[in-house]
Amino acid sequence: MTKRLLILTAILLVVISSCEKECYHKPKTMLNADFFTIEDEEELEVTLEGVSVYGVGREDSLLYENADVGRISLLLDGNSEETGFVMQVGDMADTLTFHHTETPFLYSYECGYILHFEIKDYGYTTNFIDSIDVVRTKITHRYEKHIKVYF
Amino acid sequence: MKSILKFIFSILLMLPVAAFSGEGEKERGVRIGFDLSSAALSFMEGEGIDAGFTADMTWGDDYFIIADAGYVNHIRTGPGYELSQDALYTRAGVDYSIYSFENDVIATGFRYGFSTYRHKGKNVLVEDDYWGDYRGIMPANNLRSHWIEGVFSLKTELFADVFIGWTLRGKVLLQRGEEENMEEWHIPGYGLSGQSSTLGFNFYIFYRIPF
Repeated sequence: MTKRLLILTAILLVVISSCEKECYHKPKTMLNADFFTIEDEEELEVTLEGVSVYGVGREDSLLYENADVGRISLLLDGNSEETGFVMQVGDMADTLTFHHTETPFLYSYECGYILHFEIKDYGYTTNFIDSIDVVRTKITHRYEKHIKVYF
Repeated sequence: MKSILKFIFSILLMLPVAAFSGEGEKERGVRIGFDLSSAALSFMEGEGIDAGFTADMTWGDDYFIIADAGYVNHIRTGPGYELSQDALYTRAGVDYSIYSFENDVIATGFRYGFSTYRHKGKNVLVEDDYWGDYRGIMPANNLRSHWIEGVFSLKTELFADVFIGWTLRGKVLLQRGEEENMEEWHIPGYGLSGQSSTLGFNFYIFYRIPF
């Protein structure tokens, strides 16, 4: 009987060890920028029409193309301490620049690593953007609001 | 008659039982055990070493003092990373015999568990089609965790002074060392860090040093 139990245990171990999980969803860490305007000292959400966005140095690849959006989600560059984005509406353009650090984060054993970021500093031009407010400096894979862009 | 009792006892290896008492002459000693289940899983997965040991000593007629210790040295390879883990864990507690016959015993008891460990990520690759792939490392963090266990165990003597047995563990995490760079991780001796309670199972082979 004890031999049977040993065999049964070995089978159980094989079954347990063969139950490997798969990666079903691997999130991306995005910096979320929400659009606002101020009217009568009241902060109002706003949707901009015809918004195009690309990364500085990546003029050949648009992240948004003539989109009507009230929020944009931006992917920071893990290989650099600074990431810039150009935002165009019509014939006007502004540049947003973020200085940041990156940290590898193991999302799961099955999916592997993603990057988390922390904004250390930022800058922007003001051709049609009024101002920017950073409300959360740590950028993780969880959905959170990071910056407010005022027009 | 003994073989019949042995057969019945072996059946009980697979079944939970209610408390009852048995007859038979008991021999005393210190029993040293090796965790076959952890070693076999580690061997089959090819990830490194997971060596668990246990020792028990009779205390009065119905109690056993239990001490466990384990060493883990794993390198887990996943999509775009190598994750090494070094760990030591220990458990201590007491078992109460709810049934025994000669040297076979069914017992229930509790443990306090403690684990100290660290992770380090190497050859980390994060694919990025827009800015370009990121390559780096995850620095090591030293962590500690504590937990308690309620256990149900069974040991049967295969032949003179050699035993096999298993321990079923219900574990509750008391305190978890926070790894900021991982969503969830394996706490050696306990299980996944994201579970505030979990079950565990260990299958042992023992040698008893009589005294």
